[in-house]
Amino acid sequence: MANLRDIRRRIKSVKNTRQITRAMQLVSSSKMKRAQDAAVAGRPYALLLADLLDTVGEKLDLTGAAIAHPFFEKREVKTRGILILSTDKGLCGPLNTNLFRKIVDEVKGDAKFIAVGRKATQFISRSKRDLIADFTVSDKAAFSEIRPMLKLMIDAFLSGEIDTIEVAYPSFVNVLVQEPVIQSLLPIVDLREVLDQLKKRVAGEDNILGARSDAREMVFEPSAEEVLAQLPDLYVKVIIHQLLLESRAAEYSARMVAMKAATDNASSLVDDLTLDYNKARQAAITQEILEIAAAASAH
Amino acid sequence: MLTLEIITPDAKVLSAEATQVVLPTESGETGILTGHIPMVTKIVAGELKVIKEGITEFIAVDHGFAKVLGNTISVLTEAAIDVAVIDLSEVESAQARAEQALREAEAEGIDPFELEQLEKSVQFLIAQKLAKGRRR
Repeated sequence: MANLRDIRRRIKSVKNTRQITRAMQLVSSSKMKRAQDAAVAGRPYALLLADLLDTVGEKLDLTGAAIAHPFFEKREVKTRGILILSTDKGLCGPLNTNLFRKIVDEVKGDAKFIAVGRKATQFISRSKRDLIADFTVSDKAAFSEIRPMLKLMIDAFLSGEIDTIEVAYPSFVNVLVQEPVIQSLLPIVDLREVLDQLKKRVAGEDNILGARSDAREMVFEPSAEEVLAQLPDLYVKVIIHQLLLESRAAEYSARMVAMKAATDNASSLVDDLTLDYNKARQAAITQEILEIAAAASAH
Repeated sequence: MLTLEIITPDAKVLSAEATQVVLPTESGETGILTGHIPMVTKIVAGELKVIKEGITEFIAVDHGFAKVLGNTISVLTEAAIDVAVIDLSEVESAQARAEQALREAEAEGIDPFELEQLEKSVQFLIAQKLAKGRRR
């Protein structure tokens, strides 16, 4: 019976799909673990760096010397500069869609975009927004890979092409929940906010900050200018890298969950199809017996 | 007692107590004792000394920053490694590789930032070698 063969073929193809989705689920879960570890390991560094910058800013404020650094300068925002951290591949549930919806909802005025990941590039060009550049970053997300991107963004900021640097990324809340966030990085207006956010994430590591208050005047070696020349730059770079690592963890967890759902669906589909197959087989046998019995009684 | 923290992008390398810490800064070695005035300093690739109860430990550090506030010293550096675990032959081969890359980069004329990074990694490797050599 043709019907039987059709069902058998479908069962086979669904089983094949299930095998693939299960493999992808396992790969994603191990990659997620790695991305999470990398993000967690980098947090104390980012935290201490933010704290260092905060301390320097505070001490300079106390001495009355204004912070003469373009990163601290507040200027009228004409064009926002937004870095979008998305994924290269799909199959990760609503991760990218949610992120893009947030951008559509919250970015109304003039804005220029820098995209990481193919999905963001597609979104920006499809929605006819202003894309400055797009980059692809490998799975490892090594610091050296994002250096050209950072340079481009910082140059654009300094030249006044963009007046802010903001990062839109899917933040990793837990394995099941990823929340799209737009975080503002430059100009550095309030470091405390960033500090608090980082502190929350580096649970139990409060001691790395050490003593906060010391009334005596701060000494800078070799000079305050030298220190300030490098510190904000490094800060921005490290924070962006940190966010990239986090968005990677979010990507893999979203993909893992999506693939788990796909595997479960395939399993239940196989069950349904097997039931149909057995029913059809049973019907065919019954039919045959009926035919034989009818033929025998006719003689 | 001083508290010393050494943190790199990969991990928190060290968290220890010490009576004196000597930092490799641009203007030479800077010794820190308890009650030091608050200070933020740039550190260069070199050896960082941790002195506790008369015993000196050496740690090779890369370039970075150090903050002294209260009796806490926080060192923020690209890389740090305990001198006792440095494998000289490995460092030498790494140095040869890095210098090779540096020469090639100079010949090709790649962007100055990349060049600077390479130079710094060579400096760190040399610092490791020196620190280890003195200790043998």
